[in-house]
This record gives sequence, structure tokens and C-alpha cells, in this order.
Amino acid sequence: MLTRITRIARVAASAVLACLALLPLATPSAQAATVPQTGWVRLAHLSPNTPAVDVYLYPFGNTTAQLVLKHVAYGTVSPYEPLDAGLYLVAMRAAGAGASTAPVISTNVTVAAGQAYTVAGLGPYSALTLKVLNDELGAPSGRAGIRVIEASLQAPDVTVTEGTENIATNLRFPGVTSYASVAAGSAEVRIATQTAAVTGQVTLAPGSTHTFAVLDGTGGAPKWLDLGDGAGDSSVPVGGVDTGFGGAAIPARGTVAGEAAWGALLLAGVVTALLAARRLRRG
Amino acid sequence: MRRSDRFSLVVLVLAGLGMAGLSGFGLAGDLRTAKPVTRTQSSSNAFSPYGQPASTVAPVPLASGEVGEPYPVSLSIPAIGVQTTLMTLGLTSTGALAVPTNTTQAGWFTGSPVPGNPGPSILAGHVDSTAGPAVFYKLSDLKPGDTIAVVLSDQSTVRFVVTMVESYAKTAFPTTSVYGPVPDAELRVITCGGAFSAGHYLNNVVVYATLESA
Repeated sequence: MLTRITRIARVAASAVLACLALLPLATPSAQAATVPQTGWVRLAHLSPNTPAVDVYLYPFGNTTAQLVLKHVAYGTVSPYEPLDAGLYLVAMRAAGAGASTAPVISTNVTVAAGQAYTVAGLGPYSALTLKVLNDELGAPSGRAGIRVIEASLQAPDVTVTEGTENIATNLRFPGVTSYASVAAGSAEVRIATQTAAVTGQVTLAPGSTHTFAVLDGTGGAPKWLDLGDGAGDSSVPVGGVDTGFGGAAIPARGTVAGEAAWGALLLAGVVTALLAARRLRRG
Repeated sequence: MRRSDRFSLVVLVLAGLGMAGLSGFGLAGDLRTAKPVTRTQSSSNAFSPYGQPASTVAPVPLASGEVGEPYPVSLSIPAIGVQTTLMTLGLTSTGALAVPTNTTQAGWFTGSPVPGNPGPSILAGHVDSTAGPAVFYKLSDLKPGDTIAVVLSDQSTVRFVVTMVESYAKTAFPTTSVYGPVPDAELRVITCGGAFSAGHYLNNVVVYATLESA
């Protein structure tokens, strides 16, 4: 009796294995290959007279924050947070306030795959806004992109040059420019106010983008941050890559060799299954 | 051994061989889904032993833009036993990515950032030679979480973590996702895959990876 059971079990197991050999034919053919579905969000406190805040980022509809930044003070920009494409809520609360207290300000952010955003508290405290800025991540071949955020109440009107390029002319607080296209490389940046000017060096990699944030400084002169936004390939190849010569290739469907190989495998699987079934009935 | 036991054993062996054969097919990527495809990629010459010429017509400047910046010299992928030096790659006369001039070395596209700098750094290598497997033969075996390490010319090592492995038809190559700009330091490692037809592979395997967080 035991011998009969183990024999049945063995034959049944081989029948299952043989059927598994046929499985790939039953699976749906074209499985769509996917591309990365990640976007990026960074949070910025750029309101000169607004106290420090705690910043919360929620997947929309979720009561548990995916990201919490504590005690974010004026002039702070967080690193980019990678996020799955989708809808999110950003809320800013007074620093140290509990997670269930009413936010000072909040906004929705729709994150698309491959896109980046800066969610910035802008303007004076009395007229605080939370803006979602679309960040450009790349620039054309050999070029770089620069935009300016005017976040200084002490110097509420600035003119910004990079090398010989005008980036912003008489930009007033709390304005944000669109990106200017400049040549890549090293250059001097000059930020001129009504009364003073500050200068600094930047190196702009080809294909990179930058946001210059002008902030209140000390002694009446502003200071500025060079936020790296993104970088791409300085030249983009066309099409796919020819990296193979076929020495280890399996014959393709549609070729005689390929069909013969597939046919032989199929036959082996079917024969095995039939034989196994026959043995099971006899067993 | 009893006759019926021997028979069951033979059946099991046959089934096992069938499974092994199919997993072999699986290694070639989405072979089951490969349809006959008209090759639309232009090629200025007939198929030569090294495919498209690797020489650059228009020299591509180093993505860093600065002379003397470190550049990548070698690559290791422990999960699949890859250890290779890196040559530089430019573009062909038709604007496609040039390929390494031998099948034992991978290459770094100089129009992409130095690995570790922001942006998508591009590495490419052959999946096979005319005789058998080449440096990136097992690339499609990589899984999210596997490590890729790049050594730079200043002897520093930059580590990346695989996030996605995909196979795309070359006629539907996702240029924006592979070469498009990103804010963080990322890697794309590319080889061929899928069905081999009329002298060329129909697919590219792309491994996406991001810089390992400190």
C-alpha cells in the first residue's frame, strides 16, 4: 500500500513538473517594460520674517507623514526626497507644535515621474504663500540653466549677473525668475542691490541646472545659496546600444533553428505529461 | 531498481531537463514576447566584427567640464562576478552611443557625468562576443538592492544600489528615462538582450542604480 502511494506521488510530481514546462506558453505575451516612476520634492523656508517651522509631507489622504523635517528656519532648503509619482500634501506647522495642530500653511503637490519640484514658503510672514515651483533638471548640450529666487527683505530689489550674462534685472522680493540658459563652465556671479554688491564664483557643469536663492545677510549685504537642481547628459545618444554579437544567443522565434528548439522542448514536455498520466492510471 | 521506479525516474529527469531548457530561454530575456521586428536603426556600414565603429567623430567634452577632474577607471558588480576596467565611449557618426572596442571591457560615456556627480552616468558593455559570453553576459540577473562599485582615477570608490532592471526593444528605447536629467547621482548600465535576429540583438537591458546613501 505504502509502495503504491509513493509510486503515485512520484508520478504525480513528474506530471506536475511536465505541466510546468508548458506554463510559459500560457502566460500572457507582451509584458510592458516599465520606466522609473520616481519624482523628487525638496522643501524650502524662504520667508525672512517667518519663524522656524516643522514641515510635513503626506501621501494625499494619508494621516501618517512620509517625511517630517523639524525646526526648518529661514534660508534652509532640504535635499531632494525621491517620491513615487502621485499626489502629496505639504503642511508647515509652527516649530514644536504637535502633529495634529492646524498647519500655518499647506498645499497639494502632484509629483510626475522624472520631474522635480521645490515647495517653498515665500513672501513676508503677513502674506505667506507656499508655492510649488517646477524645477528644470537639465540644460541643452554644453549649456547650464540658472534661475533666481528673491528671498531677501533687506535687499528687496536685486540684479544678478553670471559672467557676462544677465540672469535677473531689478528682480523684486519675493519674485522667482524662469531659468536662463548660460554657457557651462566657471564664472563670477554678481548680486547687486541698490546699495551694495556681493560676488562669488560658480562652476556650472554642462547640462546642469541651478537655483540661486538671495537671502538676508549681515551688514546690509545679501547672501546667496547656489542650489544644485539637476544634471543630465551633456549630449544625448540616439536610440539603443549595439552591445552584442550573438555568440551566446538563444535562437529567436521565427527562425528555423528557433522554432525547432521550441518544438523539441514542447514535445518533450507533452510526451512526459502523457506518459506520467498513463502511469498514474495504470499504477 | 524496480522497472516502474526506473520509469518514474526517467520521467522526472525528462521533466527536469525541460524546465532547465526553459530557464535557459528565460536568461535571454523576453524571448517569448519577441516579435519579428524591422530594424530601423541606421547603420552606415555592413555588420562588422565590432558592430558600430567606436571612434568619435565629434569629440564629446568631459561632462564635468573641468580638466583634471577624476574619471571612472574600473567597475565591479559582485553579485554577478563582474570586474572590469573602463574605457571611454563617445558617439558614433550617426549619434548613437559608441560601444567598447573589445568584449572583455566595459565603457563610460564621456557625455554623461562622472559616477557620483549629479545626473545619469552611463556605462555600457557587450553581452557576448561572436564566440560566447562577454563582460555583461549576466547583467540581466541583477536585482534591486545589488551593489555596483565604480573606482575613480583618484582611487576613491563610488557605490550604487540597483533600483530597477528592465529590457526594452531597441525600436522603443526610452531615451528620456535612460539619458534624461535627474537631481541625484545615478547610474545606467546597458547591454544587449532579448532575441538575436539578423545579426543584432533586438533589446537593450538597462540597469538603473542610485548612489548608496552614506
